[in-house]
Amino acid sequence: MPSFGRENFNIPLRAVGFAAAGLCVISLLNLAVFQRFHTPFPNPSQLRPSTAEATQSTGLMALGMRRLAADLAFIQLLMYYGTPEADEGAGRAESKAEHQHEEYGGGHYSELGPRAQRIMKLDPTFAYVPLYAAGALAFNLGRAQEALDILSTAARADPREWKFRAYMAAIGAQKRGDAPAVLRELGQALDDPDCPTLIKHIAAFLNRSLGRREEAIRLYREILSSRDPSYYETARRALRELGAAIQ
Amino acid sequence: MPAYFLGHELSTAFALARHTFQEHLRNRSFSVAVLFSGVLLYMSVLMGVLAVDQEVRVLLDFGLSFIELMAFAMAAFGAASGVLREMETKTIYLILSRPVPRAAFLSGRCLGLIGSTGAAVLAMVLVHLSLLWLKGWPGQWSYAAALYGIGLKLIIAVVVGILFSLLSTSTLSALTMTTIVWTLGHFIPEIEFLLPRGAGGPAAVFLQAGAYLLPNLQLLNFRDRLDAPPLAMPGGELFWIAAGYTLFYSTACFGLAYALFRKREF
Repeated sequence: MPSFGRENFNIPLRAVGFAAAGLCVISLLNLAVFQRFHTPFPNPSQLRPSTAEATQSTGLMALGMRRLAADLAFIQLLMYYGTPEADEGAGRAESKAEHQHEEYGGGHYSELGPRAQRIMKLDPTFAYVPLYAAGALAFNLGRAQEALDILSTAARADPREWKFRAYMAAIGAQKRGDAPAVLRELGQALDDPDCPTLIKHIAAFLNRSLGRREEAIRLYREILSSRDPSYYETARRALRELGAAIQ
Repeated sequence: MPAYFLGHELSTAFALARHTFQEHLRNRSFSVAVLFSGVLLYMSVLMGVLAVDQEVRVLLDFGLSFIELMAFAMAAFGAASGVLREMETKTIYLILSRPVPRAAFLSGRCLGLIGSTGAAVLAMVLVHLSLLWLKGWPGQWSYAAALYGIGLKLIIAVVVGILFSLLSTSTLSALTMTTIVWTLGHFIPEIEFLLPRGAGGPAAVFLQAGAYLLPNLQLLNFRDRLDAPPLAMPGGELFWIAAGYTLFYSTACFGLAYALFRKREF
């Protein structure tokens, strides 16, 4: 418990005047800053963390660690999407039927979109999250509209980011069932160093199904040199099947 | 003559700053804290692995956040305990019985603490940069901006900590108050948002007072805006505003601390 010494309050009038002047300087300074500086982050009313995330996010934000809060929420999103669902039921069956290629993954993962939206509210500059979540939703889970919503939100927050537009175009092509157009739209984004391995995996798969062997091999090799080991085995298997050397 | 006195005060302040700096660095708890930080920074690699493609970003954020938190703990503890300990051990008599102006004593304490905390930050940054380099981080100039913001925040923490150490009689209470100010200082934009929206009565008065008196640490929080547009402009006005804000805020707090210290009877 804070305790104060009694002698500290026995201060003459001049010191009180000094203190008042100091407080006035501080207040004027803060007033000037209020008028000129506005935080680039969404206001608190837009942050709607889930019960599980609320303590963690608020605690870190209280220490001025918004980016770290977004990072932790992102790790939790990866763990969520990387864990087999307990109730796989109808959602997974529907997804499998729709895509008919197990290599893409599947499941329902109803929380994937909302989790990504929450991370984007925590740190709107975290471009990887909308790209990853939109890719998984559109190409793996067959929820293109949800993916487009995420990308629209991201594009509004950071209009300079061209990759959001490219992904939106690719998802549009995916909805039309136009695989070559998907690859065309994703072309430049695939060469970006921040391209999620998940997207490279999808592109490699599409190239392989379209008979573009060389491009598929290039992408599978890139996957092998990425930081995401979860696709290493699939990439190795695909390279063996394509008769290419594993470098 | 005034120039002579100013020169004397400055040289005394620097001598005291050097003493505080050495004392802080020799302190065992300080060395343990720096060592502990190094180990924890290294352990953050585990966390980075979980983020797969975003390993470097997580290492960057975790490292910078941790460096700031540890440096704040060191600065706040040093500020909250320094003057009080000297009062308890009566060593302050040895200093103030000589021709040492009280302003020089306080400023020497502040500068020494800022210097030693800065040295600790530098040591942690070297460990952090080595880790990032090993992980293939390409480097970005906003890292320097983040460190600049951390430095400014620490200056405010030191001065506020010394002010509270003079307001209270125990290290724990001074440390608690400094930590509360640090936490609320990061919530200023949220307080600013809440003010015109429904907060009424005593809550509004409390929020208003807080918003006007607490340091706006979000203004200095460049660490959280590494990729945000204003930081994309080197030499942007935000850097100057932040430096000016820190200078004026710390000077005002220092003035308050000096007013308290001047009237103390030893």
